[in-house]
Amino acid sequence: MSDNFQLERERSSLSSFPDSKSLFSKLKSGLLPYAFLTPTLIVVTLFFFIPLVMVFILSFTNLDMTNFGILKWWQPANWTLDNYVKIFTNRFFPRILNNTLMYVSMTLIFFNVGMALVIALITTNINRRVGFTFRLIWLMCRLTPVVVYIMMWKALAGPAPMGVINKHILGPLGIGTGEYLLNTNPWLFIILVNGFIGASFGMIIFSSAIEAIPKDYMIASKVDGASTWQTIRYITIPMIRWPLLFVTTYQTLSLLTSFEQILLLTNGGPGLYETEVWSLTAYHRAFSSYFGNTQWGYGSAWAVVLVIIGIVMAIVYLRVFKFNELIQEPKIDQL
Amino acid sequence: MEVRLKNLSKHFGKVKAVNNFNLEINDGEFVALLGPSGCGKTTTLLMIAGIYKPTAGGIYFGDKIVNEVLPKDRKIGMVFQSYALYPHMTAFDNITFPLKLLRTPKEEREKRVNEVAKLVQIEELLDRKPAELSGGQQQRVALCRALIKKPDILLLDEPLSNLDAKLRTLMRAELKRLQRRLGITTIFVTHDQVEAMTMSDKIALLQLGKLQQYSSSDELYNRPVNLFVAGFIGSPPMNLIDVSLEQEEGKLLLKNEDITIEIPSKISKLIQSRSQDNKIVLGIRPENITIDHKRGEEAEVYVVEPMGMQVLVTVKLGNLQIKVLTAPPFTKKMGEEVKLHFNVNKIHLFDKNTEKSLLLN
Repeated sequence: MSDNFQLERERSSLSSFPDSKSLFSKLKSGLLPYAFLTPTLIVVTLFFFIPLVMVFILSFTNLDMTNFGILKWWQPANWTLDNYVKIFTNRFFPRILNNTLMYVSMTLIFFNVGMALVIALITTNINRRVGFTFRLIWLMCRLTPVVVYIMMWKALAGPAPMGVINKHILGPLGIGTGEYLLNTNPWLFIILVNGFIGASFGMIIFSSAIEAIPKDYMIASKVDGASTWQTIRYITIPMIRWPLLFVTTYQTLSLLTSFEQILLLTNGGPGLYETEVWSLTAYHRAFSSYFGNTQWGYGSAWAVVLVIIGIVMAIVYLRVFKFNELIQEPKIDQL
Repeated sequence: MEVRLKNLSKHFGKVKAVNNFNLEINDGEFVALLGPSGCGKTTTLLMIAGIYKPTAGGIYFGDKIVNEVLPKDRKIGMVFQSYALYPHMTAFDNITFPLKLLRTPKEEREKRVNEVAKLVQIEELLDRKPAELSGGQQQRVALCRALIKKPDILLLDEPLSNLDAKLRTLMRAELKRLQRRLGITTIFVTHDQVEAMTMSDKIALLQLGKLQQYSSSDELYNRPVNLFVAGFIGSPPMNLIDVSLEQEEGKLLLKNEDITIEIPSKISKLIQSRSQDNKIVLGIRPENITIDHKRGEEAEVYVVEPMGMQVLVTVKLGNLQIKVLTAPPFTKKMGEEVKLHFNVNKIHLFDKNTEKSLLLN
């Protein structure tokens, strides 16, 4: 009863004496969070969401350079599934898929996660200063502009007598014929080039995660009888599961969509589609056809399939790493 | 297992964390390493555990020097202040982790877990993760993990510090009983003198990496060898008063501008021979001063703190503040006058310069 009465009184006081100040401040506090979000929302909408919708729509059209300005691509009447049929019936489709899988899995396993974890474990187990310096040096390849970085690799791989590797390593050892190594071993170099950059990301995340593990756990496991390897396997790795999940997922997705290093290094060659990966195909179809005919619609379809693959991969990772179990149960207090 | 530390030192750069530390621990003894933070007690424990390598000196288990022995081969169990239970493992997996590393068969593991879990009554908590356990339960799990290997030596690093006051008192008694029952040589690091005094057979009191005194709690309390021990042990702490030794009419007096105390004749000769420049620190525990109404030194009540069983009275005697423990009821108020009577048979005397006790050898 008394509550009702109080409510009634408040209501009447509000309506009879509209307190402009409190209303304003209420409005202000209600809108303030949105005001802060607005710039980001505008940028995301303009540069991500709208292009995404456009790409999705374009993927159902045959928009290209020849019919640009003529084709009304936004009209559903012009939408067909032809592009998708073309992708899956393309005679190079198995090769491109295979290239993509190899590129992503090899770089991920051996470098972006594998090498990153190894470097992180080593540099956190040695003298702090030495470890820090080593990680700093490793970061250099990420800091170098990508064109300069690729030029360096091209110089390394160059044919004898210009190429550093040929001249100073393979030549004296009597291995190979001094050919351009990017022509003889393109995949090796693509994986190395990407891996050296990629590993630095995981290295930073893993080493900070490892250093954040309280020292007591390490001492406890030593006292419990664990060797260094057993401590890494049973204590360190399980305790950095979350960064591991994050880096693996993030790097899978970024490798799936990355093509600039390959574009600069081999541009899909040296053989026909020999190192052409999925995202590079999308780029090639949309922006650089041999005949100057850039097929925006067809390229978009490649990109859309890639996005779907990425989403599926992300869901698979969340399942495999048992994301739910990473969230702890509430504490039951007793005694 | 007996443990001996011989001239043990550990330096971190220029810091001498532990400096020439000698200690002998007999088989089955419960020894506390006590001292203020930064005194080197945890460093010593980690050296015994094999985590740190000594800069100099030796650690002996029995007759064997173990300086180079890896922690896993030292047959030790350890409990940490943070418990250090692996958060991704259940209590069962935490406790059996040492056995898993030894490739003990599964049935054997289960049998051993049940044995130790029974000791500390956590049988029904074994399938929980550490985050689902309370502080007290976590501590019991940590204790089980330390005990399951049947270690020769149990190392406890401030195991009770993270528990609330009531639980701490409970665990103190439990730990002591458990240690007696199992008869494991136990080394216990603490900064809490009550824990050290109540639980251990012997206490090693450290300061700035150096051993100050190694004796039973009784001895430590009643016969402190130097000024640091006298000031550290006891709560409320001992009153320490700067005085000078003076001779008047054949009597030996301890005197400063506020106080004059006559030294009992039986120790006066000893003091005279040992004191070098007559500068002395007089130590007297609060319970060895009585508040008398008829005779004694005149003093003013400064503050009264009733503690239930006793009343802690701080009085002002000239410029000195002196703490006195007295039985309730205490009716005097702040600012009122009381007379103090010092029990001269219970005084401690220290040389002002060397800080060493003048009464002990």
